[in-house]
Amino acid sequence: MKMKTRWQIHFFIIMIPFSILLAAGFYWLWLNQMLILWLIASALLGALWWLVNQRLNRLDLELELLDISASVEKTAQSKQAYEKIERISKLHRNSNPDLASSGFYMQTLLEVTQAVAEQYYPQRKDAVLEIKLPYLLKVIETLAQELRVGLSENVPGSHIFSVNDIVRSHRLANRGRELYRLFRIVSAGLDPVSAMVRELRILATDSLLSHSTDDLKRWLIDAYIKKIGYYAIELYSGNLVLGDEMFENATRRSQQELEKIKRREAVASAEPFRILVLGQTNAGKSSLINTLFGIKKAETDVVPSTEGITSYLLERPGLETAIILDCEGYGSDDYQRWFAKASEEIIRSDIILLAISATNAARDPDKKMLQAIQNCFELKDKGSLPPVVVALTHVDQLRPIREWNPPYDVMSPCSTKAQAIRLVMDAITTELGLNIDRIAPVNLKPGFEYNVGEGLIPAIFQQLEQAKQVRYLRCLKEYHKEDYWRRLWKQSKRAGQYIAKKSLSRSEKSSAELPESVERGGESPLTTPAYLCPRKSFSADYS
Amino acid sequence: MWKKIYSTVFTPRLDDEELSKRLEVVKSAMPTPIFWLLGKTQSGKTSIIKALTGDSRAQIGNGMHACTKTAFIYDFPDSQDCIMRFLDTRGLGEVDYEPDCDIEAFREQAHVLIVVMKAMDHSQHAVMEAVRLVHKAKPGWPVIVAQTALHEGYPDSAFEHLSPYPFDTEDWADRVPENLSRSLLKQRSLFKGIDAQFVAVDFTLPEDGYQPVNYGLEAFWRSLETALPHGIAIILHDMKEIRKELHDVYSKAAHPHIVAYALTSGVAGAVPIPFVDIPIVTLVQVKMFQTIASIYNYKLDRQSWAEISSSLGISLLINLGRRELIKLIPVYGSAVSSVLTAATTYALGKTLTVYFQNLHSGKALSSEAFRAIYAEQFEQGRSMLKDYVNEIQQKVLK
Repeated sequence: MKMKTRWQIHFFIIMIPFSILLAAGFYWLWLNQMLILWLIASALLGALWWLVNQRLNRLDLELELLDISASVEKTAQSKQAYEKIERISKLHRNSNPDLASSGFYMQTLLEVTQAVAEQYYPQRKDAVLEIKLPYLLKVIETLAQELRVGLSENVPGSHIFSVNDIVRSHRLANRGRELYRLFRIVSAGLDPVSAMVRELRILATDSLLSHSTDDLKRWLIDAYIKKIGYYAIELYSGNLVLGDEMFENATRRSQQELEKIKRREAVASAEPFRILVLGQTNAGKSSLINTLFGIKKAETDVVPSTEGITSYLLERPGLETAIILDCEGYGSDDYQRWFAKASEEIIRSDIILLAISATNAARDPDKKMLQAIQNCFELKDKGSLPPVVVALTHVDQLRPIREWNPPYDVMSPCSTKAQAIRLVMDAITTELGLNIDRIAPVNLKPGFEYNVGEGLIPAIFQQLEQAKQVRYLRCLKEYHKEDYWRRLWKQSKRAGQYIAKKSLSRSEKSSAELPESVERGGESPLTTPAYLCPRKSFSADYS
Repeated sequence: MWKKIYSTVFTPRLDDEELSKRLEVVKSAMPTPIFWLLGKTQSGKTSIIKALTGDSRAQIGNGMHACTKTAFIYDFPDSQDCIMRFLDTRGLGEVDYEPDCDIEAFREQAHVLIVVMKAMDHSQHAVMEAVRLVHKAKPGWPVIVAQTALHEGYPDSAFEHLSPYPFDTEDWADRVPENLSRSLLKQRSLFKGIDAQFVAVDFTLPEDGYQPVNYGLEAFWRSLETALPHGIAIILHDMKEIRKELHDVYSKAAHPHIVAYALTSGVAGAVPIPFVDIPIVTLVQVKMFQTIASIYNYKLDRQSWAEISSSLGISLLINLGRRELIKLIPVYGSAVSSVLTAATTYALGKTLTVYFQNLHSGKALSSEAFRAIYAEQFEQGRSMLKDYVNEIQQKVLK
């Protein structure tokens, strides 16, 4: 006898007494004429629960829809565009479309894109075409990337299963389902009671599942529309930047510089802060850098020693990587000549650390320099001036000359020295128009370092937010510029290749049939927008 | 004649008018060199003037705000009897100060350029621009470079000024702290092509705790010789020998005045001013008399005049008579007369100083003693002032 048959007989025999109980219970009810009552009570209970369930569903299971309004740019146009998207989403998620067909995706995509495009280009007839091809591809790329990230993060094992695996398991599951159905039919004959219980359970879960499938569907439609809407806004508002490596890699200029530093320091770094140290000759710029680093990096001397611009890489735990640029001092040479040398670095700096010697009352060169920086930024239409932090050096040489008993409270000075320091700070405030909290009096004399960690670095940190904005703008501008030329070069280089390949593939077309899946890929919702571009501009890009 | 002198002495207003009129003539003939101090704001220009003149008007900056907002002229030793002047101009590099106009204006007024720079400060482009501009226009001007605030180049705050002052020696660079010497040499190299004299000084405040307070002052006076030749600058300052017997604060203050009056009278002797009633030299001497008396807080009256005259045993008329006599002899006589007049004035001034000094301390010297002092000082004055007076005279006679 087979094991299976034996087990079945075993199970059947064990179940007989319970089946008898069930049958006997029914018989008893029938004898006492209560079977009808039981049936009615059961039906009532079922109906009541169904009602409660309906009510609960309506109350609790309100969907948490995707909310991306926070990540949309805060401009009036973008806000209006987002509202439009919301409306479209509401319309679609209540209309119960067929998600299995690609038609829905196509149509919604077009609809959303059209709506957003019209928002940004209300005057144009074909507003939806107001995009450049690479940017469109970029959107597709980003969407696909998000999909990939979402899949690999949310579906376990998705990165180890091949498509074949999935197909095979699907087939297996189908066969399993058929076997299960057979089992249900057979067992119903053998054990009607448990079969009934099981069938009831299946019914309940199925309806529940189909209910939540409904919710899921609505959520999916909403998410799909909003994602498309978001990217459409990015696309038409012009915020999108080609190439997401932008902030991961340094721009080419800094890269070269970095490589120079790397060779020396053997350390890699992402786009760093650019801190430009300026000041008159002998103001103590190099000493300042050495104190910031804690070791001797820059050559210091009592006679002018820094020539041109030297860069240093500052890496400290908890601090962002920064390139510190030690700039030749001004005031000992012709001013114009100095500015011509330094202006390029000034334009690219995120924060300016201005060293002013407390013993040098001639601050006209400092004022002229700050003025020139401002003019320079205005001239080149670079909106945001880098913040300026003043390191007031040589305070130890203020009167009383031979006294040095830090700390000195410059905010409510009580000693003569503190008063002297405060007076210089006030003079700088009025002469250079800088806020007093941007001035940190320091002593950089080796062994007598004072107020660098407690005063100067916090003063720099205070300006960091502004500096970050400056850096972002600088990166964006440099990147756009660099990006533009790089792409133009690549395109012109590839144009020849493209034509050559095209003629080649045409001649081979008869022999090499394109696989079906590739052709169909064009219809997938993600790549469809490619067709939105007219043939004309498509070919113009390559000819 | 006595009456005239009396009235001159006791009615100073009249005297002042008279004197200033005549002195104007003399002064216009007398070369009064103007030293132009050029440098960055707070580089120590005013400290230099204060150290040289002791003039309390020379307000020293408190280290914060520039204090010389417009140009100032300091007469030395006094505006009445000045033999040199200092032009203190607004500091270069002061915020929003465009010095071009001032430089052009002062270029016509001054005679000597004193460039002031802090020894450790190399941010000197603006200063060097101005120096080159002036030098190009006035290549003949002597240029003196004062390198100040030496203490900023000392290795630490406990380091004291080197004594004796080493910067006069050939090998000074090896003697002073290395950073300081390199900085000084670097600054000196900026003056390539300009025949400049360099002098290192540190004029501090007494509370700064450096000794001496005016470090390098003697050397600075010596450097002024380029403009005041023949030892006159040293005579004005370095009086160690002369002061041996006259060492009190008043005599120190009186000394430059005496030299100035002596020179003025010397020149006055050479200037062909028509003999009116009182010779100009006598007026100058009377003026000196007043100045010295006021330095000693002594009020002149009729009696004191007689007292002084008798106790000194010197008659002013003797001087006067000698002068007039010699003046009869042309050119040569005039030259002799000038030097002698200058020496007389000098000796008279010095003797008066001793007289007032004794009066102060309550001592009474005999008239013989005063006469001895007078004779001694006359010789000293003659040898000291000879060259200078002669030179001025040569110029005047031309």
